[in-house]
Amino acid sequence: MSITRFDLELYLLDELDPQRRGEVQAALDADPDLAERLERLRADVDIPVPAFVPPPLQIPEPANRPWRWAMGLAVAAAVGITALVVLRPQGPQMTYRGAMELDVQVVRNGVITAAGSVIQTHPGDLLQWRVLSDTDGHLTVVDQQDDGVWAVWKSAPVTAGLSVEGTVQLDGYQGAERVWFVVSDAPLQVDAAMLPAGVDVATTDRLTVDGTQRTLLLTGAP
Amino acid sequence: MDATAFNALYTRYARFVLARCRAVCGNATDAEEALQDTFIRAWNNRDRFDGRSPLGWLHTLARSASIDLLRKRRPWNTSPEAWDFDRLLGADGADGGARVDITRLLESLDPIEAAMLRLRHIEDWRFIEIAEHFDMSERSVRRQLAALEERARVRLADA
Repeated sequence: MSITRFDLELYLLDELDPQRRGEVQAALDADPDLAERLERLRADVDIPVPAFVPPPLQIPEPANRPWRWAMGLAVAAAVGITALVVLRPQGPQMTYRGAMELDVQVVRNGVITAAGSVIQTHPGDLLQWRVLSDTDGHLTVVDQQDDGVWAVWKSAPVTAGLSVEGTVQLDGYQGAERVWFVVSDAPLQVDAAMLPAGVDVATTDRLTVDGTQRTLLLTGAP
Repeated sequence: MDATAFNALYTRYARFVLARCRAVCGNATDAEEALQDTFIRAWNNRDRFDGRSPLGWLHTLARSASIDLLRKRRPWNTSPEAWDFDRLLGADGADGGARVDITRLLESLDPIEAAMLRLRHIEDWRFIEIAEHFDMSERSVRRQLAALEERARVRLADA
């Protein structure tokens, strides 16, 4: 049985299946040289890692990506069925129309960083976002601060398989604010959709609207 | 894979990728560049990733990124600092003449040969690990390294 560096990496990550992990553990117990290799690897990977700087988002050209349509339809069918079967009975009465992909990047002092769903923001940050829906519809991007003030960032039709993107310069709001990306059949009635006064945007991540939605939470840097 | 999942991928695996890039490239600066390039490739191809064996997928991308970088770096940085000649030659062979000649040998190698030599003699990887990294058979790796070492011996004997 040969134990490779890759096995040892997966061992450290705890990603080996139980049988292989058992084999590796037995080999480590029996072979001091292998155990020493593991310790050397542990030291090798115990290093500071620089931040990742992703490339700027690009809008795909439809002529170059015809496969998106077929894939979009397939994903729509799969996700639609899953949503109807799994999601609908558990949540509020909302329609899940399909799948939506959301990519977000923050540009700070010229450095682009891929962002997660919670972003600590600084005044002057640029928020770049890209939405790819697998259904036709209408995209609404709306931001609501924890003081109840809301603003629509984007309201535009979307076509399945074609991404829509935008950039917003953040104003350094110190509280929490939430951004929703909603793809619905018709333009969203925003004033009816937003959270009523007193509802905490930090802990409320869904709007009660028909459509597919994704959300980000922005928190001002202390 | 969305940006959140991609961030998680980077957080979990980047140090493993960086360690390999450093072993192949031989210095921290090139390794960090190869790491960035690896994850840019991953980002650009994230829709094609099937979710199985993320580390294996990243190592495949890192292999190409490192070799492309080494190719771009020609002529090699064949300084003793980059190559740890004492380890490469052994304590007895590390005199000035041998170093000059091993430098010439290194300069004549292609990126994969140089990386294989580095992984074997400086990073102390086993044949099977080098084979795994370059997606080659262990036999091919043994054969190539034996040929490289023979070239080194001939050069050093002539020096």
